[in-house]
Amino acid sequence: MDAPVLYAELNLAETRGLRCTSAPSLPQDACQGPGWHRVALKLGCAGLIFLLMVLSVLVGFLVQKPLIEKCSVAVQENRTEPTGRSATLECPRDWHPHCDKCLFTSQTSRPWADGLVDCNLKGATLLLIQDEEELRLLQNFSKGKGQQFYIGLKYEEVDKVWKWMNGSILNTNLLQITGKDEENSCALISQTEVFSDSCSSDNHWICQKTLKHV
Amino acid sequence: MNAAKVETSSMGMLQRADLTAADCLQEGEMGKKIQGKCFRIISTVSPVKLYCCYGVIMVLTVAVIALSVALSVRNKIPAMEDREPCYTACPSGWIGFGSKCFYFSEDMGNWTFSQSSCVASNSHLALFHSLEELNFLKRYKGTSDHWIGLHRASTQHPWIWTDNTEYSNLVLTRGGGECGFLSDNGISSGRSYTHRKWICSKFVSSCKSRVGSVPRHV
Repeated sequence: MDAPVLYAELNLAETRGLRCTSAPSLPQDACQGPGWHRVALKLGCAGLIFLLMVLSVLVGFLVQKPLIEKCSVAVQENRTEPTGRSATLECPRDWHPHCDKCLFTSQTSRPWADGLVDCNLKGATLLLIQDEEELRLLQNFSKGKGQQFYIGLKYEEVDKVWKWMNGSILNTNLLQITGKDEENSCALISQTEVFSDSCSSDNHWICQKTLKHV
Repeated sequence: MNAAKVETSSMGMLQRADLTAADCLQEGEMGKKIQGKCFRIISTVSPVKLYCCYGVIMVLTVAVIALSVALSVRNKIPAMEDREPCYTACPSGWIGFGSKCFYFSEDMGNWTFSQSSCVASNSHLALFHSLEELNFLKRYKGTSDHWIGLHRASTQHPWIWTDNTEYSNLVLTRGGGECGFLSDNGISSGRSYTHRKWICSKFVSSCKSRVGSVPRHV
């Protein structure tokens, strides 16, 4: 009887031991699942980060172009701001405010006389330049347009002088004309200089009229 | 205690196999229970997180696709504007028409500077030999005036081309200058030192017999 009792105890001990060993192993099996999921989560997070980066880059691209447009708008605004008075002065449609004047640039090329007539029909005159600052501003204007323009300055062969359309004689300290001083010569303003061209040549022109205070 | 021991010992002696089988079954059941618990634990947490992740990923993907489309559309518009009828045989920036390539400058210069610029690109200020070519040049030049290859020594001399051939008076020239240019009203002339944009032209040797991609007006 004693011997069987000892044997039974040994059996029970072994059985319990097996159970104990199997119990820890199950958590190991359970851990394998989460491991797989963790890898998936890592990949998902990486994907999310990548998407966020791409998104920020694309938004950056989109934002840049509107900024450029805004800059151009700002430039235009800056052009009007220095005039100061333009805020209270009104120009007709298609005319550009410039100091105390409204300027109109033609869309086509014609001889000088045609430009003169066109300006008169608009209740204006070909452009008259009063000072060096205005000359410089208009040269920049010409540069922006990629064009040269007739102005209201013509050579009078009888008097041998350049005369403005308002009858005053050109002050050569204000403005030097490049080219021939001869009959049938009219002045063109370009990006860097004022030229003498044949009056019968085709060119664009600039009209001016004084601003009306509102 | 002794009674219990006796009972267990007797059962053990009598049914060892049964106990072993029972143990195996119990082990299996234990494993299943644990696995079930694990799944439950995972399921309680994962769906919410997974759905959130899926949602965010979907939103971001849609945003990226939308932005890409928007950017491509924006990029296409300027590209369309830049694209003009063009010979593959013409250099970059040149426009083909008939058997010639034409270049329209963005800069301005006097007539001599313009001709030198054309010579530098193995061409000369533009020549035209038909009304179709002239109309193409007028249409393409936009609103700006452009120097062409007509010139004369003075208003008393005949017009000649930059290749030294005499002008055939295909269309009348106007203006009182010595150098010809293309204006909205046809061919005008101005003094050589005034500044204008210019047009260069040269032949495409490999395409002389072919009609250009720009349709001709008949």
